[in-house]
Amino acid sequence: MQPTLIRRQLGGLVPPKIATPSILSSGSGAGLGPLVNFYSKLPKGPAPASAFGGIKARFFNGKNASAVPLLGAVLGIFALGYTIDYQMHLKHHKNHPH
Amino acid sequence: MFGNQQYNIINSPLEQFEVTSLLGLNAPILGYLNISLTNLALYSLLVLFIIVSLHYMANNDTKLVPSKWSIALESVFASINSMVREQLGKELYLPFIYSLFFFILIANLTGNIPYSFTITTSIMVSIGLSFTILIAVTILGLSIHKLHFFSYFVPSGTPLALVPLLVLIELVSYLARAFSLGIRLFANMVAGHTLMKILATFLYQMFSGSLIVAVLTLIPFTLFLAIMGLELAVSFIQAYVFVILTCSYIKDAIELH
Repeated sequence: MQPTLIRRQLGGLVPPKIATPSILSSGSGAGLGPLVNFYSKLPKGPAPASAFGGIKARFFNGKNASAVPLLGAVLGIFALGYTIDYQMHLKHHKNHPH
Repeated sequence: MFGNQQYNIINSPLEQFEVTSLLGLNAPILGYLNISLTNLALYSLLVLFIIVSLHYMANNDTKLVPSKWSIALESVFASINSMVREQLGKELYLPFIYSLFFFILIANLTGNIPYSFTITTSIMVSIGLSFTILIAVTILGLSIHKLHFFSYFVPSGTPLALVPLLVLIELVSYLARAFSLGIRLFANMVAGHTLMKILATFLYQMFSGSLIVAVLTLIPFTLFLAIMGLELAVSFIQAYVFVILTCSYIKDAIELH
């Protein structure tokens, strides 16, 4: 058997080296310094919601579920359709309706 | 003088189905290449956007208690799932049927909003869908049954003398599905929207008359609202019918009668 294969099969039995006696017994925790440094700089608190996620939390999730987005979509599509119709057609009949 | 003249030409109620270019690129240098964004393309993109965002928004985020949006979506899924299971016995074609249903449903529903364009009233969309489905179903049948697929055109127990005639009839009826599936959707949507446009034009004329007439017009207006409700129902029914027939065509290709 190849050495890598042996190591892979033993990997499930032998735990990885997280804390060696030498690091722990040194007392200063200096070996963990970079790790502590990295984690202390990470942002704290809940993840900020994006614009899209904000809408989801406000109108869709849990007890906030409402028909407001449906109404918004209908109004939005109406506005889009009216704008297109106005620009393409209606404005030419402003002063002489048929 | 010209401005005072009353124009009594009434717009064609079919004008709403016209596909017009909204934004175009014309490149004479590239052999008069013409790329344009038509209202059909715009509303197709809108339908895509609505479907994707609906499914993103109504997603339950693996919470135990679903929101009302999530329940609505799940019940639609459950009914399509049971339909596919009943017809085909397996869920292999569920994603296709589900997306087809949502595409037609959302396209029909957005079309019911005033001033918007219904993409299923375009014969390119509805017949294009049904032709694609028929071709796919034929390829499916050929790949599963190889040459035995052609036994589909000969009903069992046919006397040999009648085989040429029956094969012809069966072939025509098989090919007619490609048209009937699309035209059913197209004709229903066009008829509904034409009716709405005609009625709305009449109602507008009556509402803009004298006050008494306008008040009396509220009676036919309630009828108009009822017809709008009917149109909403037709949007659902046509999507459902299209999908259920697609299922039965797939079933025919898999089981050969």
